[in-house]
Amino acid sequence: MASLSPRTRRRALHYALSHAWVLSLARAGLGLPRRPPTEGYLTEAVRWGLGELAAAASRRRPVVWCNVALPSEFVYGLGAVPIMPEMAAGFAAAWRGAPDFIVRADGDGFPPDLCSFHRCALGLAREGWLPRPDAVVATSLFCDGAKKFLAHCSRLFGVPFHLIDVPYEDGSRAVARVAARLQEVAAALQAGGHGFDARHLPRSLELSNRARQHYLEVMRLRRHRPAPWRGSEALSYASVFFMSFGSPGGVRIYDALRRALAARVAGGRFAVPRERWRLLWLHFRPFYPGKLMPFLELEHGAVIAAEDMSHLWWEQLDPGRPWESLARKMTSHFMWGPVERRLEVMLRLARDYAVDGIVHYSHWGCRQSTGAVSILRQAAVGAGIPFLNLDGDCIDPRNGREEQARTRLEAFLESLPERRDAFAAGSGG
Amino acid sequence: MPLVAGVDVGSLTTKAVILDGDRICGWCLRPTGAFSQQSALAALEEALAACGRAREDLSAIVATGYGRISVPFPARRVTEITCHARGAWAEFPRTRTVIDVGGQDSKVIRVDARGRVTDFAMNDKCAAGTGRFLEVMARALEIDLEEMARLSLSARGRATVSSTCTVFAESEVISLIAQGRPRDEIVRGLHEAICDRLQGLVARVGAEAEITMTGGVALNRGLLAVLQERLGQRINVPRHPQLQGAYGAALIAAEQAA
Ligand code: SF4
Repeated sequence: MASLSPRTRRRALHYALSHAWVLSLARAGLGLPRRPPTEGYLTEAVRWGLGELAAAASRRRPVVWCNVALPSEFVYGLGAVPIMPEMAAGFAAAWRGAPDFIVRADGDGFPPDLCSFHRCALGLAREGWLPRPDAVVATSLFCDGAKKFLAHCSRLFGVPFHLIDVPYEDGSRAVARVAARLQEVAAALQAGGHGFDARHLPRSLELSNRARQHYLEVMRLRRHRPAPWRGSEALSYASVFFMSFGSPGGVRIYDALRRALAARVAGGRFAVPRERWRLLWLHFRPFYPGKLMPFLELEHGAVIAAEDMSHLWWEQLDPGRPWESLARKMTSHFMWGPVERRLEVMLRLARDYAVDGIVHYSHWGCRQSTGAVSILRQAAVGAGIPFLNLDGDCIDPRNGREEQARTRLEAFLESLPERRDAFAAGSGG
Repeated sequence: MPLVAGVDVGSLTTKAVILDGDRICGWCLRPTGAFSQQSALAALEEALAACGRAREDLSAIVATGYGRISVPFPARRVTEITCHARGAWAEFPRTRTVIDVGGQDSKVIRVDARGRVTDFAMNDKCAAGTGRFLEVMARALEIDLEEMARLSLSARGRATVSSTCTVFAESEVISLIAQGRPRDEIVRGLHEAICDRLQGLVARVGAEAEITMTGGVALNRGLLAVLQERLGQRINVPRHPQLQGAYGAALIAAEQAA
């Protein structure tokens, strides 16, 4: 950490000292205002996150670095802790540390065109802010940059790198191939020492299924009008969504969230004071603190009712057939395969959550998502749903252009017909 | 008839329009300078003074432009996208596409038969292709904007100038001058570069006739000629294209006051 700029160290120190830091760190990571938690899901999320970090830091369990598209159940199923550096970048952004870590990665020769999730994560890795990996596992699922970035990390730490290649087309042959590859990688990890043990797999899948049941209920509750949860907060839970399935913490978090949302709906407490519009948000949001999300949701009453990145797309897993189940979760990923899959998800979410418009956040350097924008726009407009593409950066505020984004969002909202059935919070919907 | 005002606080200039019914009875255009709040207030006061009225006479004010958020008087805030669309459509009701080249951004807006925005695209990241870009280049060439238009129309060739970055383009212009390239060809090249960007924006939302161009750059006949040629269509230019955002804002204020 010695090479980090004094400013970054000061910020981190200030951060730790000026808050009851455990909850605050989590709060920042989740993009929440600084106030004591009133509902259990945040506490559960913090408990889970710190527990996993402690297990990794103390080497009680082996550590796997992976990308967000690797099912966390696979890692928990091997008795290991999943660390997703891309999600850690989101945390760094939340406490305004990202630019300094990015500069550190630039020193490794990474061009500024590369996704800032990876550049920031590399800075974090270089500076020793993440628990050291025992192995690195990447999947080919949707992000090419992730594979290369993770391969780079495995070299950096001198640990094995495993790639799980997922065929573009879904189907039984693809499932069989991925299942076989998952088994191969599991065998290689177990043979390499560190205490990897695939006997945890059935339990991991069973826990994932339980969390899934709670999450399905969360999604059902979120269809309520007015919305009980702000999408900006839901997106802040991306790290929980990608990393907690398969752990006991995942079950507890989503059980608590489900109960919190049910209580809000029953008590008529909704996400924004006056819900004027409902939006579907595609891809991630800016994770650094800024005015964009409050401006959208609180000031304008345009609530993000659903997000593609945090919708649950996979079927129930079968603990008796763990490899096939995990393979199916991967091959059916909505961001992978023909673009029709993503289109279908977009239109289904738009319909199920009764949205008035769709916003695609085009994160600088992310080709896999932005490459589809034109097709997504055509499909949305064809279905009569206004569509806005918003350029920005989820991690690096220097690329964020908040004022421009604000004008674009505002103009987009001005162009949406005012809902005739605009809800005031407390109306009970 | 209620008296209303529209104030457009842009990055380069601030405009105010006072509407008495459907008649513009006062207006003002002044540089924004470093203090947008003062300039918004001054523009409003000057426009009111031009028609002998006072702020108390106003029934509604709409503020637009990048400085709309911080105007120092009570006003409804509406984006410049909606206001330019409304202003252009009011003057040319058959307008379906509006091209606005502002100080630091350019936008192409699709409007429906009622003047409502249905889609829009704006330039990203850099001021290339905007009013500021032209201003910087005019300075590098040591000519005024009027001269630029005249030179462009008489050019027989065109220099190639990059359209992605204002700073790089400026140094390209300086080296073109040093190479002895005729100034009219450089100016024509600059207009082509801006039109490259505008054409890209137009392609993103589609160019349905009629097209109306707003913003001060619409007065540049040289650029207008290149753009008309590129789009293969005639482009409407309002009487006071720089005021179109403020005019649209005032029209929205009038609706609100009605
Ligand atoms: S934002 Fe895009 S490029 Fe970056 S990690 Fe995610 S998928 Fe990959």
